Amino acid sequence: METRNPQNSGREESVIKVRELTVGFDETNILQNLDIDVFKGEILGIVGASGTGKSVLTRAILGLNTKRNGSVNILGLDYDRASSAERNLIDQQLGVLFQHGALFSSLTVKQNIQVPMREYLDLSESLMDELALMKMELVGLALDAADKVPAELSGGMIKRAGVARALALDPAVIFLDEPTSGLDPIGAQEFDQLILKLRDTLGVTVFMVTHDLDSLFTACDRIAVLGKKRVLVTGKPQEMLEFDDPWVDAYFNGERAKRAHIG
Amino acid sequence: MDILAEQNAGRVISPTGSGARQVLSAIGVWTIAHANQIEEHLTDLVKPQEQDISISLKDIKTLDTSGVWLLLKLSKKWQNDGVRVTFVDVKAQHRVLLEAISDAALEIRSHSVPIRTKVGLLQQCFDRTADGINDIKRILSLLGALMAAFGRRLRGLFFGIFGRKLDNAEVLRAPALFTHMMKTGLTAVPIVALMTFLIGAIMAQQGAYQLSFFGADVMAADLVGVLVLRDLGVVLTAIMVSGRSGSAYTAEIGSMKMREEIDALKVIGLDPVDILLFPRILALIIVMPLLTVVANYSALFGAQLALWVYIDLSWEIFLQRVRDVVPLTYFMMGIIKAPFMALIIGLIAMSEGLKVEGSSESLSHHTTVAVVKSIFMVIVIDGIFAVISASLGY
Repeated sequence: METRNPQNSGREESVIKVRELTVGFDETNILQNLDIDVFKGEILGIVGASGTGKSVLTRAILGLNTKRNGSVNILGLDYDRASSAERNLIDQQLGVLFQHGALFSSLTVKQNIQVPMREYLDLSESLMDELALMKMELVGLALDAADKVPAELSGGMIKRAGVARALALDPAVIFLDEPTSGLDPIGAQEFDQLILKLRDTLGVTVFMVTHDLDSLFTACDRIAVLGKKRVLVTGKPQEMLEFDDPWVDAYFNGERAKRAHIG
Repeated sequence: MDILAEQNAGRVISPTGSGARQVLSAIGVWTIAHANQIEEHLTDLVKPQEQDISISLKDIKTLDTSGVWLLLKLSKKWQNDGVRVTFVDVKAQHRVLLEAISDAALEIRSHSVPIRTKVGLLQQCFDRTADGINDIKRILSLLGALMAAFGRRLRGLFFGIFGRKLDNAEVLRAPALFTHMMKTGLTAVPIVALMTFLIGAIMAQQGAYQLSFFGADVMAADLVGVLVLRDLGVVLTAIMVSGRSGSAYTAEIGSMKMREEIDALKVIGLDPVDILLFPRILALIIVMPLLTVVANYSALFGAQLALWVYIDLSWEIFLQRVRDVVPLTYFMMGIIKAPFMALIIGLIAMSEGLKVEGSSESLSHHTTVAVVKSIFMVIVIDGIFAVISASLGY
C-alpha cells in the first residue's frame, strides 16, 4: 500500500517526537521508555488492549499527565523547555477531539468553535461567525446546529462539532480519542472519510486512538501497537497481519478484523 | 515546519505594469493568526476599475482555511460590484483547500441564520408568572407523590405486622433512610452547634449591654431564651440545612437527571419518588427537629457562658430565669415548625433538581435557585406560624 498523502514526499518529517517517555501512577509505570514518532501529514492509529496506556500516552503528549522521564517534542520544540510564548504557539498548533466530545455544555456549537479564536486572536465578531460556520461546513455539520447547545445534538454531531472546535485555529496536528466509538457503522465510515478528507485538504497530521478496525484499515497510514509499557510495533496496516505477537495476532487476525480487511 | 518564523500578514497588491487584464497579487501569510489584519486590509482595499481581474496566489507563503475564506470573501464582494475575479497561479496544495472551502462557502451563503426575537418587558412578566405557577404546580404534585409514597409505606407497615409479603413500593428502605439521616443530620451537628453557640453568645452580650442602661442586664437571659426557643433556633437550623443539604439534594438529583440515571430507574420499573426522593425527605423531616434541639441547647449554652463572663451571672440564676419566662409551649412552638421547614426545603431542592437540563450551567443555576428559594420559604413559614400563634393567643 503506497502512501496516500500527496504532501508526504521523500524525507519524512517528525511533527511529534516522543523519546524515552515514562509515565506512571503511584508505584507502577504505565509507559516506560516509550519512543514514538508522528510524521507530517500522516494518519497514525494507536491501538492496544485496554489499560496499555493509549489515553495516558495521548494525555502525556498533550501535557495533561505529568511524566516521570523523557521528552516530548512537538513541531521542533521541546514542550517542557519551551517558554510560555512558545507553548502558546504549540498549543495553537494542536487540536483535540476528546472521546465524549468535551464540548462546553453551556455554549452553543458556534460559541464552542469560537472559544479558541476568542482566546488567542482578536477577530471581528462577524468574521468569527463566518469562520465558525465554515468549519462546521468543513466537518459536515448541518448549519442549523450552529445555535444549538451540545445537549440538543446527537452523538455523531457532537463528534463533528468537537472536530470543528479542534480545527478552529487550523492546527498542524489533531488528536482524536476514539473518534468512531458510539457511532453507527455508516456514521463511523463517514467519519473515516472526513478524517481522510481533512488530511488531504488541510494537510493536517492526525494522531488517532481507536479500536475501530474499519477505521484502522480505511483511514490510517500507519499503526502503532502499544503493549508491555512501550510501542510493540509500528507499520502499515497490512504489515500488522504478519507481526508475531499473540495479542497483535489476535487483534488483527481475529474474526472481526478479517471481516474488516477482507471486506 | 517552523512555527516561530517571522510572518507578514497577507495583503493583496497590484504589481506595476499591468496589461490589458488587471492582475493583482496576493502575498504573505494568509492564516487565522493574521486574520484580523488581513480583514482590515481587505476592507480598505479599493475596488479595481476593470471589469475582469485575476488574483495571483503564487506568492502566498502560507494559506489556511481562514485565509481562503478571506480570499473568497473578497472575490464575492467584488463580484457583487460587477467585477469578475479569478484566482490564477494556484499551487497544488492551495487548490485542494480552495476547492474545499468554496463548496462550504456556497452552503453558508444559502443558509440564513434565524433572527432572535427580542423579548419585551411585558412578555417577561408573563413568562415569569407562568414559571412561578408551574413551580407551585410541580411542588404540589411532588408533595402528592410523596404523600402517596408515605401512604404505601404505612400500608406496608400495617400489612407487615400481619406477615403479608410486601411489594417493593411498600418497603421502607431503611439503609437509604439512615444514610441520609447521617449525612444531613449527624454530620451537621458540629456546624449547627457552633453557629448557634456563637449567635446565642453574641445576642446575650449585646442584649446585656443594651439592657444594662435600665439596670436590667439580667433580662438578657429572658431575651435569648424566648427568641431562640420560639424562632431563631429553628430558623438558623433551617437556613443551615437548606444551604448544606438542600443544595446537595439538588446537585445530586440534578446530575442524576443529566446522566439519565433517573430514566434508568424508571425503565427498570422503580419509582424515583420511592427510591430517591422519599428517603431523602423523610430523613430531613426526622433530623430537622433533632437538629433544632441541638441548636436550642447550644444557643442557650452560648448565652449562659457569655453572661457568666460578661455580667458574672451565675448559671443557677440563668437557668432559673429561663425556666420562669419560657413555658414549654414556646419550645414546642419552635420545634413544631421544624418538620414543615424540612418538608419545604426538601420539596424545593427536589423539584429544582428534577428541572435540571443537559448543561452544567443549568445544574449550577438550579442549585442556586433551590437554596435561595428554600431560605426564603423558611422565613415565610416562620412568619405564617407567628401569625397563627398570635391569633391563637400563645
